[in-house]
Amino acid sequence: MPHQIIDLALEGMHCASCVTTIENGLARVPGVSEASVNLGTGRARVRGENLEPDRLVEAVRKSGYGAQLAGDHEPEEDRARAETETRDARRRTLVAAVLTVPVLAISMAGLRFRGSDYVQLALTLPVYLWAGWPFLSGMVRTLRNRTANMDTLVGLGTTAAFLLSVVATFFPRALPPTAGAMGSVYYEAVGVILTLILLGRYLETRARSRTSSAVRLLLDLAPKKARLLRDGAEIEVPLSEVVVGDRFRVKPGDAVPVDGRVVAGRSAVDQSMVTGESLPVEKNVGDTVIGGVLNQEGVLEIEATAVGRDTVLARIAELVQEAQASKPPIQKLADRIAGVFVPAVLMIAVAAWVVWYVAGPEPRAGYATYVLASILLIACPCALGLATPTAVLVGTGRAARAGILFRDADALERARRVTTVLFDKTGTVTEGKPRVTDVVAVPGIAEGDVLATAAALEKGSAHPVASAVVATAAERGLAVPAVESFESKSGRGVHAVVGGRRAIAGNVRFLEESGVDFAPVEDAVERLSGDGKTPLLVAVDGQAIGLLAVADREKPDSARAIAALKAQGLEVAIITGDREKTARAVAARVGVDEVIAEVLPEDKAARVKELQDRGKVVAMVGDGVNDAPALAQADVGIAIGAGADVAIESADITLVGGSLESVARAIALSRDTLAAIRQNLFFAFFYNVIGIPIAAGALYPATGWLLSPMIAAAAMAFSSVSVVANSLRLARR
Amino acid sequence: MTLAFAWTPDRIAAIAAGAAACVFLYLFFFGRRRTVAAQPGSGGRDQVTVVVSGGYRPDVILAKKGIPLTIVFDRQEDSPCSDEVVLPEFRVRRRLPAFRKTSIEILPKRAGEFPFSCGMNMLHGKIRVVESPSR
Repeated sequence: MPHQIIDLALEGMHCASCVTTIENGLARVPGVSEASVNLGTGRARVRGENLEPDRLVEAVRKSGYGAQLAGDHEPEEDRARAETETRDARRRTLVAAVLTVPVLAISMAGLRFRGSDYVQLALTLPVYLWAGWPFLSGMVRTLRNRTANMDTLVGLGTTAAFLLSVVATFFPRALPPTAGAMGSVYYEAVGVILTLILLGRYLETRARSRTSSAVRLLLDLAPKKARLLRDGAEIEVPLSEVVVGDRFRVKPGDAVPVDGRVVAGRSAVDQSMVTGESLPVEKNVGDTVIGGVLNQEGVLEIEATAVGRDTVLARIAELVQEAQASKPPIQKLADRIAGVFVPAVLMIAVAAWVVWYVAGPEPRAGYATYVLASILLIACPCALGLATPTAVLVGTGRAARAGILFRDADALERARRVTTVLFDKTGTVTEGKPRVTDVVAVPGIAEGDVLATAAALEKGSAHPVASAVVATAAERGLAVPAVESFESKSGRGVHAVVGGRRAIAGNVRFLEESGVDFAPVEDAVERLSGDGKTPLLVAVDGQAIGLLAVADREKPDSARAIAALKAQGLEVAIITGDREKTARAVAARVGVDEVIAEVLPEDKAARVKELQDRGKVVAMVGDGVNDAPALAQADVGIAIGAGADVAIESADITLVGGSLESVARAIALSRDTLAAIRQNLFFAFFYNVIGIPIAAGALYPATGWLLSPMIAAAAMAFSSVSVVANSLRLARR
Repeated sequence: MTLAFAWTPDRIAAIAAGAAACVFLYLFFFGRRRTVAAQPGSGGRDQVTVVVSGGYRPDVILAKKGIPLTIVFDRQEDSPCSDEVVLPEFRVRRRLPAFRKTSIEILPKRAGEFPFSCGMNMLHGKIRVVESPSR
């Protein structure tokens, strides 16, 4: 019977004794072999056989707590909460607008009648107290904590305008007589300000929820149900009930529910949403399939290999969320400013009030308060605070949907500066599936002997070339002799004793070093290298007996991807352990001009360093396994074709799919995201640097012009919306 | 506009009041903060509860290096300003549902001061990690 794991989201826990109570309650449910409750995460993980989620939930309820199947819980609640918040914001905005229109009409149209001030007060009071409640309560809470945010500014600004108006209404003589454009009451300002800021906040909340939607969209790729095959019948079950080892069927047009291995059928799957690969990928028996990809024309039977949080999709989502929590270096200055912004604005407002009160025109108190309110209302900490995080959220989210995973925001920022892209050849530019194309034997030796000797030598090696040689020998039905004292020299070749004779197989350099005379095959070496094939020389007792040529096909999109990188103004080079001639032939076919050949694996990092010393900013693209040191040395290490292994340590960027085109896309996305961050930061700084002095009346001495608090509020409301909107543009790239 | 004005008592009072207000604001926002040490909780973890309501209370948490720490953020408001908490050092950005407790588990790996803030970096707190006493 298969082993099952079910996660529950718990409610109502508050101490360690709750943990024990729930664990004991769960342990009594039939089939449960182990239940562990985590107080920190509020989750329970239950292991066992034949588990029924309903009974587990019931057991927790009986213990006096709440529980739901984890997974369905959070998004539902998030959505409900977001909806309530949005509804509330909309209602407050509408009420504020409806009540403000008549007030605005009275003041703007100059409808002055007896008691008009009282009518305005009656209409504005609910706007100030009810519609503005989120700001007022927020202001009180922040001040209690000796902190400040936008609520503090808006709360103080509207309160200043409102109190001034109330004083003018009840004690008209307490304030100096009105002068010029200044009205004695500013009720319309309070109403308009709150309406606009509420509207701005409503729009901003809606837009912000879209900035983080990429991860949700990614998780939504996996269907909610799977067609399990049990005892020959097909039954539809919720995803949470699928366990490792289950077999399920995926029909044409359906998405694969969890990661698995094909056990029957063949089809092509569209992986573009997970890996970014534009072409469908053929899947046969034995192939692995990632959950969330779309099955195309055939029916597949798949055995689950990973479920729940262990699936590639879930791990991608986790990595993306981690990256989104990090901050790019560019944010440091904005952070420093944001940290002191509101207190600084409050001090500027106080200073401006004093200046206007001391040196301003009459009514001085009126003008001073008017300016104070304008400053508090125009200052927008939110634009500053939102500039970077929203762009990082949208940028990394967009990248994840194309199968590009940035390790953190720092990697996102660095990728923009790359000048040189260095590709590892085998498995990166080429498919990494070498085949033996030619067998050349010196006169007097049979081709079969060359191949059999090579196969005997390579049998113990893990190199992809070795597997190709062994497979070719097997195809030809050759008997492969046994070997003794096998030794492998990384990046060079292998030697061993075969049939009592010392045999050796490897590249030209290795044979030279071993003092082997390979003159008889030298012509063949040159000819085959020129075709982009890798010669593997075979020698016995110090004499070359022949060679094999091994070739690896370029990936179909390599040439296009390299052209795209060049179009971005990047230098592209290939680094390989292969002979220069072989590498040049491959490079020419994919459009690369520069080749760094005959580099031993352990020297690749040093070559990257050399380029860096020449002032290049290097992105190294490899599989992340053999070339980990080079990836780590590079300014940006890019691991390609990670597939199920999405968390590659040495990589700054992990490409889930194997397409080189993702490299160009990753760099383009990095550039776009950083451009958006800069625009946002520039806008946010510029806005505040210009806006605050204008609100303080900097233009008044020269022009007699003062910014109305209403305009200030409108500017502030839409500054943060425009920053978010600018970040959201990235999602469409 | 002319800058000719008389130094009347109310003008002098306004300057004095403004200066006092600025000093007060500075001390109010940047003065000393209350530090609370995380307490040993269940399973070898330290735990501390931070109330989120217009700020973080306490806003300085004392933690020990190498001891896993659970910070329970108890968000008692629905102002969007505090709907996310970010702990950059620990690569955590988490939504805090309104009027609920959200636990965040971290492992302080090195000593030092590590800030945390709301998503827009308006509200601040920090985790002060000290070397844990040898046992």
